[in-house]
Amino acid sequence: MIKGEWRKFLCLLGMVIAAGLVAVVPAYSQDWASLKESFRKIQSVKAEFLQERHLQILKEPLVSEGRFFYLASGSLRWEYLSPLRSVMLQKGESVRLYHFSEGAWKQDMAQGVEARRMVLAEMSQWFQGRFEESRVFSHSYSPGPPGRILLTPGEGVNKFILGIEIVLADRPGVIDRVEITEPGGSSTRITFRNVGINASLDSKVFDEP
Amino acid sequence: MNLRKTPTTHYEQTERIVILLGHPKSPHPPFSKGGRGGICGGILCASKSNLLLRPFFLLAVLVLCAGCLSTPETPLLPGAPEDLDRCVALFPSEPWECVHTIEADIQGGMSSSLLGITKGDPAGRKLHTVLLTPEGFILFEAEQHGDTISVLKAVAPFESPAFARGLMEDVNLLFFPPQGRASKWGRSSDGAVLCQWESSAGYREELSLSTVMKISLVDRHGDLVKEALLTPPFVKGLASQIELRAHKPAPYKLKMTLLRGTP
Repeated sequence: MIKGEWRKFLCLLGMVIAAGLVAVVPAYSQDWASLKESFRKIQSVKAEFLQERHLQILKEPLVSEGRFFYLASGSLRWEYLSPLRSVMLQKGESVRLYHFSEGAWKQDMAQGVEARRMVLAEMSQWFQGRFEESRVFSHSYSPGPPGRILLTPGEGVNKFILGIEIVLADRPGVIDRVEITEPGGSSTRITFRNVGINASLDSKVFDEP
Repeated sequence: MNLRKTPTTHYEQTERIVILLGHPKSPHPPFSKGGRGGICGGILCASKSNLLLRPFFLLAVLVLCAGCLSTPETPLLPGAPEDLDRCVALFPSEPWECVHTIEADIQGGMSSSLLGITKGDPAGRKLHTVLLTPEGFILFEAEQHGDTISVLKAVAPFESPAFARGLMEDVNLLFFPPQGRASKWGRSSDGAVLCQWESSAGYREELSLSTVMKISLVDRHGDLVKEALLTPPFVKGLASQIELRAHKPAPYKLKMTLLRGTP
C-alpha cells in the first residue's frame, strides 16, 4: 500500500522533473523522428529553473528556484536553492536526498529516497526519448512553432495529473516552459533558463550536496 | 476516537477521512518515526504480549519517563487585566494565510524539509492546512471546522489518523488561543506575562510573553508535552520564526520560518 502510494508520488515528481529534462531537445521545428534522434545525442544537460506552484488554497503561487545537472551515463542532480534548499543526487542506482539546515547538509528521510529512486527509473526512459516504452503516459507532438510535446497520463496517474505540456523555445535545444495540470485546479509551471547542452560537468556535482 | 470516511474528490487511494477530536489538546505525535503512533505508544502496547521481553520494555519505559520533563506551575504575581488581552493577542484575530518552510527533526536523527501552508479563521476555529515536499507535491491536506478534521489528501507515511490529529493539534496550538476561560494570569518573578488555561482532561496550556513568546502544553501529570517558541519580529501578526518541540509521547522538533503571511 505504501509502495503503491509512493509510486503515484513518484509519477508526479518524476513528471515534473523528467518533463523538464526531456524538454531540453534541439530544434522546435523537427519532426518526431528527428526529435527522438536528438535525445540520443545529448550527453549532458545543465540549466536553472523557476518553478511556480499554483494551489487553490493560495492567492499567489509558491515560487521556487533551482538548477539541475544531468549526465546520460546515469547521473542527476536536481537542486532547489529557494525557498528551501534541498538536493536530490543520483548516480547509477544510488539516490540520496539532502536538505540544508543550520549551516550543514542533512540527509533526508529514507521514505523520500525510495520514492525518488522510482522517479529516476521512470525518468531515464524519458531522457532517452523512449516514450513508447512508458506505461504511464501517451504522447503527442506538435511541431509548432513553438514545438509542443503533450503527455497524457493513463488510468490511475490521471488522478494526479491531467496533462503535461512541454513548450519549446525558439532557440534550438532550449525549452521555454513545462506546464503540469492537476485535477482540482492546481498546476505547476517550470520555466528554464541558461540551458547548456553537452557541456563538461564535474563529477563532484553528482557526488556531494 | 471517532472516525468517519467519506468519498474524496481528489485522491482515490486516500479516502476522505473525517476525524472528530475526542478532546482538544490531547497530544498525538504527527512526526513520530514511521508515522504510526510513536515509540512511547509502541513500547507500551507491545509489552503485554511477550513476558520475556517485559523487563526490557519496563526498562525502556523507565528510561523514557526519565526523559520526560516535569513542569511545575510557575508562581504568579498579580497582573493587570490587560495582561490576559496581551496573551490572547499572540494569536491572529482575523482570518489569515501563511506559508512556512518547515524543518522536521524526529527521533533517531531523521530529518526532513517541507513546505507548510495554513489558512485559518479564528471564528469557528476553521483551518485549512497543506504539507508539501520541496518539489511541490502535496503530502497531506486537511481542513478543520471546530473539532472536526477532514483529511482531503494524504500519502504514506502521512496517511494515519494519528498523524492528522497530531498535526492539526500542533497547528491549533500555534495559531489559535486556548479554548475556554483562562484559569489564571499574572506576572512571573522576571516580569514575563503568564496566562494559563486548564482543560477538563487536566491539560494545562501556558503562554509566556517576554523577549521570546512561549506556548507550553503540560499534561495532568505535570509533564511538558509540547512547547513552542515564537520569535519576533511578528509580520502581520505572525511570528517570523517558530520552534516547536514535542516531548511526549514521541519527541520531535519543527523549525518553521515564515515565508509570507497575509491577514
